[in-house]
Amino acid sequence: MRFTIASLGPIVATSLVLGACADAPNPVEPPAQLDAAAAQDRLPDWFAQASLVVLALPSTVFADHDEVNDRLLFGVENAAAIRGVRTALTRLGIPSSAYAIAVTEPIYQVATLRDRWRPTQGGIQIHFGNYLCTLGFNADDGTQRSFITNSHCTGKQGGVQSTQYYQPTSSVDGTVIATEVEDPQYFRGGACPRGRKCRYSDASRALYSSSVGSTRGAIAKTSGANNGSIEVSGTFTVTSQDNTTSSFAGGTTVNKVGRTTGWTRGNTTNSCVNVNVSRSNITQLCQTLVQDPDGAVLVGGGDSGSGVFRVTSGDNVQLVGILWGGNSSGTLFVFSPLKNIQQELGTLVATN
Amino acid sequence: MPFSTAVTLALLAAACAADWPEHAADARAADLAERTMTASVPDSVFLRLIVPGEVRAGQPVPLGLRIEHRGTRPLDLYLRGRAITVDIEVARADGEVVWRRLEGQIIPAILHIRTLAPGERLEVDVEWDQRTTGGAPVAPGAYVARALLLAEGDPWATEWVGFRIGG
Repeated sequence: MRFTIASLGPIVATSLVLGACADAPNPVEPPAQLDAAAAQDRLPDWFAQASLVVLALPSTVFADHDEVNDRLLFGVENAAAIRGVRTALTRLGIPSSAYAIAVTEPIYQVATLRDRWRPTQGGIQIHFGNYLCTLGFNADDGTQRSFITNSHCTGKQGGVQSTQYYQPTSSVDGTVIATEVEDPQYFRGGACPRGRKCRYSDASRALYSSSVGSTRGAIAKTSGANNGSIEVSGTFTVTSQDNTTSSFAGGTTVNKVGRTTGWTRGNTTNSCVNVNVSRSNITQLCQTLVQDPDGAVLVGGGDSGSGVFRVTSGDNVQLVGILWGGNSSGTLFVFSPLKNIQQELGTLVATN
Repeated sequence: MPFSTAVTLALLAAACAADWPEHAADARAADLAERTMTASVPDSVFLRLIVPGEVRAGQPVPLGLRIEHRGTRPLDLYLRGRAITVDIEVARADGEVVWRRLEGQIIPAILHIRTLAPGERLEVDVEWDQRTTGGAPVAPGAYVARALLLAEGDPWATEWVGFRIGG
């Protein structure tokens, strides 16, 4: 699935897949040599005029002053558009020997996990305070349209501070997309080691602003697992939830999509383990560890909150948890099982 | 200065003190340089690890990371963790890493945006208790250390710095 400029409109502020100017495709008519030095001298002016006029025409792709071949070069999506370009250039007084017209692929905007997305979906960047995290997954809590991210992706880990979230950042879009409404306090005693504060999930819930659209059951999909891409090429659909498992069988393959390392995949190595959070007095109880057998990097700073899922068939997935941390080299990540999340946040409906 | 050259110099400094042959130090430098993926630091950012030249055996080794922005405009750093997270590697002169500060640690995968004003300097001070990652005391001798600042992608590394643990 690709997103055209037209389909996304102004939503996606992203990099353009250019490169057409330097490596022009084969023109549909042979380039005529400009035999007059005067004509060459006029090319910059002609380009300035023609660029404004030609790119306003339908089905045009690019305008280029091709200095290598001393000509203007125009790209169009199909042969039917050539006539209109030629007419426009004639009106500007530009001789046919001074330009070429090539049929070329349309240029698409590529949206990344760090761009603005409306409606929102899992796997995309969110911003609060001076921090960036990942929107894990959209879910309804009763009638409340919400998203789930980490407890440590709030103003304070544990306890509700009404943290306000932006997407992708407040500087790109100042709309508060959601506000933290649920983040249970960490507890002491009981199953919690002495001197530590504990919870069974690093999860919090944010309630969407009424004006902000969200798609339940959608997680952004990039081009492939463990390839480093953050360009969105499609969508995973959450068709089921694992609400009962906190101990995953060793070797279970799970995936996540996060704003820093994109779509990554590994196998569970340890399950229902108690994990101390580095340089803190927090212990997360009954968590699952994931690594790639080949040592691929699976997690990076900013991936906190990523939804963790199993692929069931095609792009259909089963939600199993939420990622919150990893080792310093990024080759291991830790997630809280969905069962634990719902134990602390209540029943969530995350399927489409 | 290329990374491996810096390692070589640090090891040679240690080698001089310990009378090791130079070619052995070269081989160890190459070995150390390949251990961890690191990223390029922005031109205006200077990272430096400060370590005393010599520390008595059994005494904590102070290790100070200095991060300085020498540019003329504010610079946003994207750093991993809610607070600045720094790994330290200490290696023997034979190339064996004996201590990693964050070995086995689980770090939240949040990204912290820290804006540095022109000329602003951040300081992170830690101590090494002269024990290996496994908890055994290390022997006196020459060592090298470097700091790794966890960032958005691969960590930013200082150059290796040589020091001695006295008998």
